[in-house]
Amino acid sequence: MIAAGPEAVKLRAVPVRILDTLPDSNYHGCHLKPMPENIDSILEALAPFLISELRALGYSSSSPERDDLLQEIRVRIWKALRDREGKINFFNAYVKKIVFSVFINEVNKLARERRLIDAAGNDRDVIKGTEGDHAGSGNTLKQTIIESLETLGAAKRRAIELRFEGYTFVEIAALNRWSIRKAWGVYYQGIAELKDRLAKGGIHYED
Amino acid sequence: MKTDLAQIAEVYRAYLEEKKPEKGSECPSPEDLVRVVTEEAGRKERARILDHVAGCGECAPLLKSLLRLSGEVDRLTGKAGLRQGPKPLLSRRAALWALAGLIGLTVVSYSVIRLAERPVVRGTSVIQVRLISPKQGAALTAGDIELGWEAVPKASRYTVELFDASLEKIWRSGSLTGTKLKLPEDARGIVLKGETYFWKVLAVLEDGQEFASKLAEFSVQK
Repeated sequence: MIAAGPEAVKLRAVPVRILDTLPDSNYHGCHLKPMPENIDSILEALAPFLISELRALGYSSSSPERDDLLQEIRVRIWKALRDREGKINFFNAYVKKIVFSVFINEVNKLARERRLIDAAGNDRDVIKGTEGDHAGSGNTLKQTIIESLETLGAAKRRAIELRFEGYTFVEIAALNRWSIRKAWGVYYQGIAELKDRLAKGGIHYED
Repeated sequence: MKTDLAQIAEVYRAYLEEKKPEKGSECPSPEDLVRVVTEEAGRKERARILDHVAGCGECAPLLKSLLRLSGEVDRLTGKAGLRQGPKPLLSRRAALWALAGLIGLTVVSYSVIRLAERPVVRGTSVIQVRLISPKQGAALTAGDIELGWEAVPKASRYTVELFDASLEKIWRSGSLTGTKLKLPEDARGIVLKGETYFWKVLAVLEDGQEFASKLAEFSVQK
């Protein structure tokens, strides 16, 4: 929450100017000095990355503008700096928290919009039309693969499925709090077991 | 019927696409996914969320985006350099590991003593692919890299695989009959000076059974 008083009034009156500044507590809380350059350059570098991640999630047409996101993050960091008299301990964790929060807000907002469009019937399911592609032997293959995966141990199945969804070993390791070597080992052990199970289902796996 | 890894992955992703309409209340909230990335989620919660994510075509890309964002913030803020406050001499986790290590050492010592007392049984049936050269952790120039392994009885062919430091597969040989491989031109073009690489050998027996070596490491001299 923005505190009431002269500073709050200024925030409402000239929001864009305020974004580039943070309060100097030595002068009645009203004097403003520029946001530290390093924070600004970090945010400048981060903004296009945020946009590209939103686009990677498929929000190409209705993605927010780069400056909107940047502004939102800067406002929050500025408020945090103001509340903490210009000092943020664990800066990395704090920036991450704010960035995640802004990112998730956008994801939720865009997902809601997408659901509305879907509900209106303007953007109907393309996937259902492709169901015929999996007929016959394709269906048997799919069924055997899915059943084989389901019989694997949880960790192996998880490692394999995440790999199939494009996760790197580094990412799988980080998520599971494993070493990269362990992630690699769990994955390959899982693949070896999957091969055996597929063979039992009459499917020969070739490297 | 035949298949390969690329096809399995494709079939799996198509299966997730078909599952998409089921997406809804069972999905963890984006805030839950953040908790996994920031390591705030407990072990059980993390496992539950990851099990879901691994089988959800909606959550998997979102979590991956959060991971990438996290990495980018770390890179831009220089995570280690900006942490403030005194570091404890030994973190709680490190202390637990130290204790576990001590217990482990005791168990191993006891087991070794017990094993030494057992009679020796020769002729084990487990097939192992043993890597001989280069020595574990050796630093070589790209031109000098010659990979060698012990012959496996009844092996009809071998395959060598090369991995980068993040253990992503970067190169795979064709079928080999010998037990030595001078790194060919195409593989030499991939390896970079100063980087660490891992390799393993797959042995295929006459009856089609496959055995893999352990992973070994070498680095390329600058």
